[in-house]
Amino acid sequence: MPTSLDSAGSGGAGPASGGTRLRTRGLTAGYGDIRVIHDVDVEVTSGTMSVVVGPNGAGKSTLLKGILGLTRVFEGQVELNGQSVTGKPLEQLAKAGIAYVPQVDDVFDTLRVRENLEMGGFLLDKATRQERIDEVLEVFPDLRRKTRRFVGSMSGGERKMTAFGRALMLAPKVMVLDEPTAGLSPALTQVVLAEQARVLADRGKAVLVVEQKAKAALELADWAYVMVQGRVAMSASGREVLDHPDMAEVFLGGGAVAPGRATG
Amino acid sequence: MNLFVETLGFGIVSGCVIALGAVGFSVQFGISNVLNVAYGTFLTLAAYLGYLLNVEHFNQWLSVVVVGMAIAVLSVVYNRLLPGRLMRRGAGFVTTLIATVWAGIGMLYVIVVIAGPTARTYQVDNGRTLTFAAFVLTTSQLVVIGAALALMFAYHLLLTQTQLGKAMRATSVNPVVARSCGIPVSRVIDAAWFISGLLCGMSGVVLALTTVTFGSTLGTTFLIYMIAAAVFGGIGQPYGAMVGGLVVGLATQLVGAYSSPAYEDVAAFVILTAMLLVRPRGLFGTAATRSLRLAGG
Ligand SMILES: Nc1ncnc2c1ncn2[C@@H]1O[C@H](COP(=O)(O)OP(=O)(O)OP(=O)(O)O)[C@@H](O)[C@H]1O
Ligand SMILES: [Mg+2]
Repeated sequence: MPTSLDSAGSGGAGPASGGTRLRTRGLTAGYGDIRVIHDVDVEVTSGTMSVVVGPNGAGKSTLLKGILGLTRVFEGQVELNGQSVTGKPLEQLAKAGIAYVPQVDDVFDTLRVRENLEMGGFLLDKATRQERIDEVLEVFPDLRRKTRRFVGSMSGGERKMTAFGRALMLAPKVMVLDEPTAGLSPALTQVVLAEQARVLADRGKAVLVVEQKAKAALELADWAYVMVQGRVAMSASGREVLDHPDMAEVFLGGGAVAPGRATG
Repeated sequence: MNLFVETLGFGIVSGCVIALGAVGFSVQFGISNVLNVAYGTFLTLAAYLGYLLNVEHFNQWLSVVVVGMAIAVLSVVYNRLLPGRLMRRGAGFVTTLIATVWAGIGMLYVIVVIAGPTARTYQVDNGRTLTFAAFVLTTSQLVVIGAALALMFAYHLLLTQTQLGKAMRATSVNPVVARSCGIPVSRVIDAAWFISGLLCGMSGVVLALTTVTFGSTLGTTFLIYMIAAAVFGGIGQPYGAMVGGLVVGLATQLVGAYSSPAYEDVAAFVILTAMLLVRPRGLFGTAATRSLRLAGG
C-alpha cells in the first residue's frame, strides 16, 4: 500500500542545515526484544519544524523514545550536531538542550503551575529561573493568573501550555513534542500548532513534532516524514506530502477519504 | 474521665511517633513506588542499635539522632542494592514487594541470631512529671510530641519550599518529565530514602523508649500501625500519614485503656480493614491511587 510513497522517500535531504541539528541515522528501536521501528532517518534543524505523521501504532512515539534514550535502541545512531547521543540518559539530553513533551503525562499533576515551571528550570540558578518564569508567562499570559493552581485541576489546553512552558524553561535548542494536540479541540489544536509549535520554530528552535492530526500539522511543517508500520514511507516537504495522491490512503484520519484521491 | 484524658495524652504521644514512622514509610512508596515491607525490620534494628547506646549510658535523645542517621544511611544503601536496583532493571511492583519481604525476614533473622531471643529493657529517663489540668505528661513525652511536630513541619517546608522537596514531589508524580527537566532523579530518590530511613530510625528508638521493654517483634507490630496510618491518610500522602498516625495512636491507646492492652493491635487492624473496605484510597488519596495504578499496571 505505501509502495509508491517509498520512492518519494529516498534522498532524505531534510531541512536546510545551520544551527543545531538533531538527526537519527538508521534508527532501529523497540521494547524488550521487539523491534518496533526500523532503519529510521529523521532530522530537524534550528528554525524549522519537522513533523512525523502516521497512523495509530506506526511507531511515532517509539521513534521519539528512541531518540530520547527512553527505550531500547537496537541499531543506528542519534546525533546532535554530529555527535552521537545514542542512548544517553534524558537528564544529559536536557543539559544538551533537548526538551521533551511526552504524548501523555506531560506535566507534574500534583504540583502548582509555578512549581511545574520551577522544576523545568531545575538546572538554573535562582535569579535566572525567576527571569525565565517571567518570560514563559509572557509567552502564555493565560497562565499568569493561575500560577498557584494545581495542574491536575486544569483544562487540557492549560495543561498543555504548562507542559510547553515547563519545557521552555531551560531555553532548549530542540523541542521534541509527541502529539501535542491529543485530546484538544480543533480550535486549540490550531493554536498549539500554529501559534506555539510553529512560532517556536520561527524563533529559531528546532521543533520535531509527532502528529496524528496530519493535515493541520503538514500545512505548517517545513519537512515531513510519513511513518507506516515502523518505517519512514515518505520524506518530503509538508506541502508535497499533503498533495501526494497516496496520502489519504495511508492514514489521514484512518480512511475517511476514498483511496486514490488527493487531499489538502 | 480521668482515664480518658490520661489516655488521650498517651495516644497523642504514641500517635506522633507512629505518624513519623508512617510518613517515612509513605515517602518510600510515594517517591519510588516501592512498598518496602523490610521497613519493619529497620524499626527493630533501630531499637536494638538504640539499646546498644543505651547500655553505654548514651544520652537518650542523642541516641535517637545518631541511630536515625545510621538507619538513614543504611536505608539508602539498601534501596540501591535491592528495590532500587530491581526497579531499574524493570522488575514489576510485585517482584519488588516480594524482594522486600524476603530481605525483611532475612535481616530480622540475622538480628535475632545476634541479639538473642530475650526481650531487652531500656534505662529510660522520663524526666519530670508535669500536670496540665487533667493531663499528666512527662517531660520526655513533651519532647517527643514537640520534636515529632517540628519534624513534620520541617518535612512540610521541605516539600513545599525547597527545590529538593519539589523535585521529590515531581519525581514521584512523573519521573520521565522530571528527568527531562534535568532533575537528577536517582539522587532525589537517594534523598527520599535517606529521609525515610531517618524517620524510621528515630521512630524505632522512640518506640523502644516508650514501650521500655522490646523484642524482635517491635518492628512488625508497629509496621502494622504505620501501614494502617498510611492507608488511613492515603498511601504515599505525607499529610495523610500524619493524620493517620494520630488517629491510629489515639485509637490503639483508647482501646488498650478501656479493654485490654492486648487489643491495641486489633484496633490498628480494624482501622486498616475499615479503611480498605470503605475508602481504599484513604482520606487524602488521589495521587496515591494513581501511583498505585501505575505501579500495578
Ligand atoms: N511499552 C511498550 N512495550 C511494548 N510494545 C509497545 C510499547 N509501547 C508501544 N508498543 C508497541 O509499539 C508499536 C508502536 O507504538 P507507538 O506508541 O510508537 O505508536 P504511535 O505511532 O505513537 O501511535 P499513536 O498515534 O497511537 O500514539 C505498537 O504496536 C505498540 O503496541
Ligand atoms: Mg504515540
